[in-house]
Amino acid sequence: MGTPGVAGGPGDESGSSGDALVRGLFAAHWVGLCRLAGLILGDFAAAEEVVQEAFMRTCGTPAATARLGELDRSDLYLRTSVVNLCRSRLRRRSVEARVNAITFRRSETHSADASDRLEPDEAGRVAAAVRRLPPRQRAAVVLRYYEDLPEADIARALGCSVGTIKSQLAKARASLGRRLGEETTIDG
Amino acid sequence: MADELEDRLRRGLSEAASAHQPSLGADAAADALFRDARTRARRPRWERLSGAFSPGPARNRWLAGVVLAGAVAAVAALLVVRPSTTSLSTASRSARTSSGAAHSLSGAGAAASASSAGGSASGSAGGVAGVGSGASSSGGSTAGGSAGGAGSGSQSAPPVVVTQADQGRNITLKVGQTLEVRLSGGGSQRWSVPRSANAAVAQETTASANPTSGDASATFVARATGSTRVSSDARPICSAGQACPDFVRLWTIAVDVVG
Repeated sequence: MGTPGVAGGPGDESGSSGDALVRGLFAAHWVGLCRLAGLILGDFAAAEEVVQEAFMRTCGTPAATARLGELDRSDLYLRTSVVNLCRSRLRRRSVEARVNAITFRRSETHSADASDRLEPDEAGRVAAAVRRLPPRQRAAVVLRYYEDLPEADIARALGCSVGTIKSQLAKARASLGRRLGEETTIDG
Repeated sequence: MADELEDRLRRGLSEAASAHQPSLGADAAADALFRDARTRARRPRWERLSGAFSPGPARNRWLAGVVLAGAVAAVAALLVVRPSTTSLSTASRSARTSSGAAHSLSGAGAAASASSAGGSASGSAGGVAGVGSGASSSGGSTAGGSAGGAGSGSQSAPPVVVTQADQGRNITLKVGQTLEVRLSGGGSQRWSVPRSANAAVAQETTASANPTSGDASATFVARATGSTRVSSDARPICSAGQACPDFVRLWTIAVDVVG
């Protein structure tokens, strides 16, 4: 197995199977994972950082690349890593928002509301409604309705039971139905 | 109704996602990953290892440097302050280990050791004080009081300095020798002026107390052979409107004056 970052980078004449594996993963999954992370985070610029971080963690060292090469479905491993990093970033962001709300006495949802107003079309409304869900529900909804994953795979990616995913999805659907219904009524 | 919502979600999320294209292509992103990994691999081993304990940013390393420098400065300050407070015990130890040589206390060791080096090994030094609880039973230290003397009568014995760390000690002085008491309140407690129980044996020559810092000091001269006690007490320094503990810290040393 090659050493993607050390011996065989771009411009390295030797080129190795490790590099080829990493480049293949990038070619196959980079755009899709960026979009997945963008939907979960609601921020497509931050999504690229998160996906790059996930690649760095999974392919950044020779040992990690070797481990990844042994997996049957390295894409699942990468996706789980991206989803976990997204959730971690969302948790941190919510803590920041709470601290800012206390420190500056402003609404925690101020920024979200502002961005919502910028997307008046249907896709924007759906994305905005999904962004207002709690992190785990948000990740579950995106994995279910964007990635079309079965509940078992979602449970594996989020590290919880299938029952939990079912209940999270049910809550998310109820909440989204209410929000999108209200907006449709207001718009109509 | 549920199916309608699910369709709406699928369509909406798909459209929202496809509207965004990553700013970097897959190849460029892979190149960036390789570059980053190469940079990490080129870092010295110690830096990579230390990275496991502290994050990389320079500001953290700078902060660690400041903390380290502060710690070094604090240790250095302690080492500078320490000799004056422990001179007594250091001198006491050296008095025990030497045979018959008298040792000076309180930083006047240079003169004493000079005279010790110049004279004979036993009983020639000018210092006369034997100090410490073991002083009376230890031949070495008592020799300071007994063996000193006669030969060095023309020299004045160096003063003995005691601090609050010497609480409960026995001090042996030669007649004419000076005892200096330095008590430090540190701003949290106020020492009273040290007093001698028997002014005929140890007579107070100077005394002062600072009510703000709590420090107190006094100097006694050994006038005649005999025993006495020098004592003081400390009480807390309290601010108005502040909860304050109520305590009295007693400090006493026994002083034996020999001829």
